[in-house]
Amino acid sequence: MNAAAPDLQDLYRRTIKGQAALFSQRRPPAIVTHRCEGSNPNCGDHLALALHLEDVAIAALGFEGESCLICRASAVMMADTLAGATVAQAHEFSRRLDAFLHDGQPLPGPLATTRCLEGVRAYPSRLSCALLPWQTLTRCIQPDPTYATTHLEAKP
Amino acid sequence: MTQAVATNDRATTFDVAAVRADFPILARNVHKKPLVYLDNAASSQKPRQVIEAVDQYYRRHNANVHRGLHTLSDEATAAYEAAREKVRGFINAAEIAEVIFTKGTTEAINLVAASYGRAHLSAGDEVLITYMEHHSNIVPWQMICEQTGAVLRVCPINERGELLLDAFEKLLSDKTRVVAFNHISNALGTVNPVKKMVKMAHAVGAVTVVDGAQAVPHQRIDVRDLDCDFYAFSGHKMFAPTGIGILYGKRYLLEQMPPYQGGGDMIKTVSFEKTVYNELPSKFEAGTPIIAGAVGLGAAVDYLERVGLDAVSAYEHSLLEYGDQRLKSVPGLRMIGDAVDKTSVFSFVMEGAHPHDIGTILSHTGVAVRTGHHCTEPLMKFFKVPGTVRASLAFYNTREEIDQLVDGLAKVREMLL
Repeated sequence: MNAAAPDLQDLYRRTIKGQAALFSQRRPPAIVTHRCEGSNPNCGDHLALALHLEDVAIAALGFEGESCLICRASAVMMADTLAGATVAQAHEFSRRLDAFLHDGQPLPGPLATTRCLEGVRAYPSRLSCALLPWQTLTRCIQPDPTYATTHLEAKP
Repeated sequence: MTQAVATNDRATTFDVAAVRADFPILARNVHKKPLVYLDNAASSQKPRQVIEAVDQYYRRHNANVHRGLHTLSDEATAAYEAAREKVRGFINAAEIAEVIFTKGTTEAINLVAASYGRAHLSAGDEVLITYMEHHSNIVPWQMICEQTGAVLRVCPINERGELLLDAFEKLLSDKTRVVAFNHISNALGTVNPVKKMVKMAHAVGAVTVVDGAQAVPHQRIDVRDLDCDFYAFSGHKMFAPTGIGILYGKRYLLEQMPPYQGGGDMIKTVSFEKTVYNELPSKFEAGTPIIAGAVGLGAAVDYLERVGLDAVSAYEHSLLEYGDQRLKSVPGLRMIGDAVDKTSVFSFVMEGAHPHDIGTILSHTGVAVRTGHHCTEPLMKFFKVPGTVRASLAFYNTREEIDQLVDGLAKVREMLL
């Protein structure tokens, strides 16, 4: 694990930090058809996702909430990647990112920007931060939206 | 690495190097850096004396307790009950009947809430807790209040993270049946005036339940002096294995309470018509207990007695003062919880940096801290923070390790700000 750990400075300074800085610009859209909240009890990340769904296409999405840099960066990349995507594509991309982060499975082309999250794999407790926006979205676009949580149990 | 500390009016020394040599894990590296373990409020490390006691138990004595007539069962029973006697002496309980083995603090509090609460609470009664409780001293009371119609009241705190004792007194009334509070806050390190609070609660006829999880590793506990009715704590925070804990309860209260769980060991006789429950403490220990955990807890008690809790308290206080001074000099750092009476916990936030990111960067420098809400969400809301970084000390920590924490925070600033 240690030998494989990427340069943390690289993870934060070059990529995550830049993306996360854009979080405040990905505000909820003017028209909102779906809302969903997600939280990570392990660290206190909390996202309120607002979505404008036109038929089966994501017209726009944005966020409010307080979360760590990795979560914010992932949320920004998700908003940019999924603008104009269909609900089916959103589910598929979410599944593929999960497989990439957990198991190193290949990323599809449209998810190329999220490759910078790869370094998170060396910090298993942070995977939940990277995945929270995506899990919140997939719950939001389910027929019966539920509250998203990336951990079922918080440690004392 | 002998560090001088002052205990009361005399100066003494605490041989940190000697105690550190007892903890094998402290010699390992993390991310190619020497481990600096500052997450003791979550769980402490184990000395070889505890590890070896558990190892020996499984190698030589393992069997079920209170059941067989064979030698191993006798030995296992003797070891299990010897651990109970050690714990009794450790907290100065009057008798071993008042020392119940549980899985930990959480189960101990749930036991009281479910058993005492079901038997004694009804609609209109009140349970008083405080704003600085761990979820495990909130949720069990919410659950029993929901079931019985009792009302949950919460005592407020001030900005320093100290209980408002005037408010506490005003919240007590003839409706108050149970008062549950921590001895030391896990998130802030605040030490509550337990003896005084117990006296105030008793004045209105309420029973007191003290969450002592964060107190037992740091200071000597005398349950008879505190006069509390129940005192709960966990083994794993006091250098013993996980999965073992203690509920101390006054005998007359435990005798009034129905069993928490049914099963083997907690009965005298069973028929389909009627079951006769066992005497204390077995009445509350249904099923095969965590025997090796109890043996490990006994070894941890021996270890703490040998090191000396008075010396531990004095040494940790000197670390607290040193760390407080060093951390408060870090630019942008805001301490959460600054009680006058506090133990060795530093809970803080840094401007422009999320606690979770700080935790990851510190981990990369070998420093282990806890980040998040520490199972105290209402408390985090009070301080208007999503969570904090918490560095919590044990007697094996050193000033040099606090320096490494401060150096790690400089790296955080360099990378994030």
